[in-house]
Amino acid sequence: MTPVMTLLAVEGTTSWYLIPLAGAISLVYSASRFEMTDRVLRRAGRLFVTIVGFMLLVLAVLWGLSIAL
Amino acid sequence: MIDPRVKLKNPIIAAILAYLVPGLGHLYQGRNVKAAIYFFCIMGIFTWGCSLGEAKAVYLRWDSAQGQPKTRTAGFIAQAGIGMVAIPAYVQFNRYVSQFEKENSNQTSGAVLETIDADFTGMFHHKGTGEHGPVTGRITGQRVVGQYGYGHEFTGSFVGKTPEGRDVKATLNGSTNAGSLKLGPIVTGLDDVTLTELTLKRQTPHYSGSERRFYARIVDEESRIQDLGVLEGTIPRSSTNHVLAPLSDEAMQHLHGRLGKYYELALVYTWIAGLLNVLAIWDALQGPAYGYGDEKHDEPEAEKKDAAPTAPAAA
Repeated sequence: MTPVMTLLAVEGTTSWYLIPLAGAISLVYSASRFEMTDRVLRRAGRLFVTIVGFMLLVLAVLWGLSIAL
Repeated sequence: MIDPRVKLKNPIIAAILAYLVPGLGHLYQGRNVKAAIYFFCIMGIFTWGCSLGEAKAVYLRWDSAQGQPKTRTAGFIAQAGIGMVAIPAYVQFNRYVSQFEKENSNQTSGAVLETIDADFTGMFHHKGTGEHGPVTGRITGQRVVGQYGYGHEFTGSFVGKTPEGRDVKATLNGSTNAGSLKLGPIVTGLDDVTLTELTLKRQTPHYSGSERRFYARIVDEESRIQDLGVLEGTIPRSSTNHVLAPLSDEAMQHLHGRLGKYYELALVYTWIAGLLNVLAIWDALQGPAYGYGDEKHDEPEAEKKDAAPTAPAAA
């Protein structure tokens, strides 16, 4: 298990709660932009990956900065 | 300009419906997929948030005490994006304020504030017999305005049983001015109390919510003055008097202490749900912001495909 995964697996971490939140935000935001279901779903998927990817990037940076602590 | 393929019907009605219940406006317009997306996503995270906060994350509070502003307005503005919750919370806030004003106005001594006929759960301590312990039963009586219009007084009786099945009967009397009556308000609010002492004894937390604190003296039946002991516990409060009603400071501290970061998550979930519904309302009113969705200029992949054949020729 990687150190980042170990961090996420800590009991009581609230990070996992952000995943469904990001999914809901992506779907609602994309639905308010377009009418076609296919387009809404593709845009929502892309936005979801962007949001989660950005959060993982921030997590990795914070983990990297905390190694020496 | 709204795409003619998007049928908005009456956009004002649709926007109002979308405000009341996420997705309802789109259902009215016949945009069923969007209605499902808005309903399940927005109501999903909202109800999840409410569940994390034990249904105490949404309420309106506007007050100031001892010159210090104490408001819960900013968070409620975000939650108010969902009308089916915001409107009852606003009603509950006004009910609490009117109840507070009624109880604190200069009324004639003896004026009835409420008649109590409710199930009781708690403890009793009888000085005369030395008995004490848990008891359940029924309290009947009246809460009236105290002497000279100050405070409240309660006179009534208790009939119940101990866990062993022994009958307990008591005449009750108490006055808020003398500190011998402590009774939670009808609608939960700022003056409500949490049952710290009972929490310690019963090992179960009690918050201002579905139960009201009840504390009164047990008095001699004939004289109604001689102090014989104390009856302390809770009587139920109807859901219409506590759901979405403002919380006390003490209840808030208990919730924060027990739920910790999950209460913060509950607030964030409900705030975001309310804000997301603003997008849904705007969609019901004005249609999708970028268009129908089959426009080529909005698709980066399509642009790349279109541009690909010309690029080598230019080079």
